[in-house]
Amino acid sequence: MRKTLLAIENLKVYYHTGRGVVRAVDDVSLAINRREIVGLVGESGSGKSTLGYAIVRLLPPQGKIVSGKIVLDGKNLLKLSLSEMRKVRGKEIGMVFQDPLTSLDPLQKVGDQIVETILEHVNISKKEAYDMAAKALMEVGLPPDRLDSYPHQLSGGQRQRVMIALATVLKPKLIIADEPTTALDVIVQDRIMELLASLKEELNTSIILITHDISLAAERADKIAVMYAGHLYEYAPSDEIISKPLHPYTQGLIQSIPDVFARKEIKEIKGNPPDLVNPPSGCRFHPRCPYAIEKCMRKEPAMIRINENRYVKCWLYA
Amino acid sequence: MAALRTYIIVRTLMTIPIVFTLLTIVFIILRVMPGDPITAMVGMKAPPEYIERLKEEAGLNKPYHVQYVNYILGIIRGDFGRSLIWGKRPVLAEILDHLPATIELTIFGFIVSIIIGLITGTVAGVKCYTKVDTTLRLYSIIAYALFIPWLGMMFQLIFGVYLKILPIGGRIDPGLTVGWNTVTGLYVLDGIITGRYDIVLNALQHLILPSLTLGIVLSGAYTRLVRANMIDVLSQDFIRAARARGLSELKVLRHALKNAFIPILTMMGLQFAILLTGAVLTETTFSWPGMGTFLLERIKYVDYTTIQGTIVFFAIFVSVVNLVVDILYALIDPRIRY
Amino acid sequence: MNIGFELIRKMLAPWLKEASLMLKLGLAIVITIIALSITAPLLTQYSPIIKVGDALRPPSTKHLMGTNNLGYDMFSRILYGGRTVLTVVVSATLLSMCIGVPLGLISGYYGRIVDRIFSIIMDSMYAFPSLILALAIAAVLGPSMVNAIIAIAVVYIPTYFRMVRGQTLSIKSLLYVEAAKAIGARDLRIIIKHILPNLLPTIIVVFTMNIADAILTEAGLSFLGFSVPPPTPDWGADLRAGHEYLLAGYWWLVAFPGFMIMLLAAGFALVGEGLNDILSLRGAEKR
Repeated sequence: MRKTLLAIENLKVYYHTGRGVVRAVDDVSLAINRREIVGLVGESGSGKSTLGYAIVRLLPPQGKIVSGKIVLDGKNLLKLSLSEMRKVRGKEIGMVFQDPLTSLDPLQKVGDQIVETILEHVNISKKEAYDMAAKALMEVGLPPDRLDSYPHQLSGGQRQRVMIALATVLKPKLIIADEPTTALDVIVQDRIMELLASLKEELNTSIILITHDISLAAERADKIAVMYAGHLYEYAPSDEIISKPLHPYTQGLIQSIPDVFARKEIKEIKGNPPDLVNPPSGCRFHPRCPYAIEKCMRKEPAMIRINENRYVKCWLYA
Repeated sequence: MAALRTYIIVRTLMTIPIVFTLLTIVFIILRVMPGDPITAMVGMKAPPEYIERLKEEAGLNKPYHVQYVNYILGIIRGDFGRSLIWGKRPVLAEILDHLPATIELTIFGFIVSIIIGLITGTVAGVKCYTKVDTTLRLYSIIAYALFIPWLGMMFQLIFGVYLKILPIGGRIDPGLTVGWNTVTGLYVLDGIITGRYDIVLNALQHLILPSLTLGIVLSGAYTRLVRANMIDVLSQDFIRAARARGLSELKVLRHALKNAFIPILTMMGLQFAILLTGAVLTETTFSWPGMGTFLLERIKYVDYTTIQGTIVFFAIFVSVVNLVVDILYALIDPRIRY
Repeated sequence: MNIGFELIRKMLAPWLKEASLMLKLGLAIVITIIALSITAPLLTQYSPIIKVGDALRPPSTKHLMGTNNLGYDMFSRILYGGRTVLTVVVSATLLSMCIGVPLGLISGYYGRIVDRIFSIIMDSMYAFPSLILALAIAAVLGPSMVNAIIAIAVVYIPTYFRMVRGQTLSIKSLLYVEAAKAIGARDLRIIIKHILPNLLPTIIVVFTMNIADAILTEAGLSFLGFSVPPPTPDWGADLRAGHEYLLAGYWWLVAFPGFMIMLLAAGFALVGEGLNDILSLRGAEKR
């Protein structure tokens, strides 16, 4: 068995809009190991969600995967036919969305939605599928009688548990969770993350945790990938990235975490993310970077390997 | 379930002021508005004594408030008055004679329109902003702009006069129904119940052109509605989530259709009024012995009480259909049952 | 080059660029039919209400659309019939707009009991089959052009009322009306200066779509014999007259009047649809 579960190589995803081409994901490479939680961190518009949806090939109509490879367990997902891809979705890759209320069909009982998913992928009887769905609900900490509930009858946290049950019922190799706790209360947030982490142990899956909150990623993820303006700028184990961030942008992100106990000064990163139709020349972060040198404006830095697990894209380390 | 029951009760109670308002509007139009219905209908040249006699029979020579109270009380008792002609038959009995024909036509017209509307609307919604979509949008506008009698006559010309393959008027060949007792008054249904399949076939043949006419004209509205709802629903999160679960496009479409259908159902109540308007014109074009033909005939013969009764009946009928549609809506959409 | 003309063209240019195929097609149809009915005396030598030839003749070079059972020229009746239809329909929709819009403004702006009463009346009327309502009114008043206008106008008041009331409610809750109130502007001033201008684009769209619907109602009324009395040329009435000769195969008596009804109604509906597209695009841009 390979150690690497998912390998993204030189992926480019462009949106064709009325104003021009938006390079939402530009030449991103990333490898995710088995049983690993990777936090994909960035501001909105950094391309982190686009990357997540590109993996399951569910981009909006204007979005196109221009080039690159997405290899899951040895098979390039971009080479699959649509029907082969459908077999991957839900079965090998489960997805958890930001807003569980709008992501569940409001007119169908949650049990039926789970059963429908099971029957799409596995050839078993309806009765067996129901038993499986009930078990899945119990695993996410909901009583099996919730199968008969409609989404609107559940609380936000319960709904997200249903979403997680839907994503994990077929024991996928990879779970992509797009801001899974953003729409929830703070207390519920923690429980949901706890649940995701425990399921990961139980099912031996990997998780891509897409979030704008680097502290959440630091707390839960094994590794953190920092994206900015469509580029991947730093990729490293969480503890290392928190204790010693290398890229100036990562440093900025960490300094902007509010810390209740330390009462340290919160520093915001000055300026705004760039317009991706006309991105800045050279390193895309240079207009906001406190350490920018003349070279940063001219030439894009290459990804630099610091050690076996640590990568950064910045001229400071070249 | 208790919540659903409460909703149904509250919604039913809400119908009462609406019906009451409608009855008042009908009263104002028929009695208070300038212009004297009897004179207008009989014509100025009729002898004054005759006009007076008609007015008295219809109770029109009393003060307005007395007329109004009598009118409302009568309707509450289910008494729609008696016809001024044709042996003073109760108006309600005459209405009920003609109602099944209209209902049968309306049902078939509705089926045609919903089938065309659902197919064209779904295709336009899925293919939105393509050439297919533009074509279907044009179709919906032209269908809406078609004048029912004209479309009906074109069908009569083609299928009845030139090709001679379909009857151009009436509900059934008269000879067939001799000695046949109807059950509901809906010929197709009754034919099946009594095992008279020759009647079923003949009634269906008579139904084809009128219901196509009515259905095509009304389908335009459904095309628009289904299209708009499909575009809206297809952009929602749960559709993407359904795809992310690996569901086939057909199953995804099923989720979309079900959700797109809910707002359409609320529109059906209002559409029903349009359906009835259409039915009046369709009936006239195809000599269909329903409520529309009946109303027009009585207007011609100045049967004042019957005219009033029929219009009142339409008002109540429409309100009740709206009520039923709203309750159906609550039964289908679990979110409504607050 | 005429400076005034150039100026108008420049002002219209961005608007015309936005104009969709639907709007252009609709405008072309509507303008053509209006032009045809205005210039009717120039286009045909025949009067629409005088026997000008043999009865029931098929279309020929002499009579482009044939003659009817009375020997009237159908082409002439179609042209002059356009005048009747446009007069009745435009007057009726203008009338219902002039009543419906103020009522909606009052109802939406003042709310409370006035609003309750107006709303229930208008909603009831709106739910009632429009043709049957118009039929009842026209039957009571008797068949004439003015009465047809009144009957159609009454039927469409709720359309304007509901739209204006709803929009007034949402505009009223916007800040600047509140601000205007705070600095002591009078109600009438607020309604005319702040609310009405915001409603105008929607009113125009509803007006054009309403004309399309009114054309069909007018045709329905006159088809059933409750609009202008004969021999006034009118498409709906001609269609009814022609129906009696359908079985004998005199297709030109019905084909042309009905086609004109569809064309005119579709024309206005296309204009309304096209304007609506522009309006919703603008709305989307603002957001």
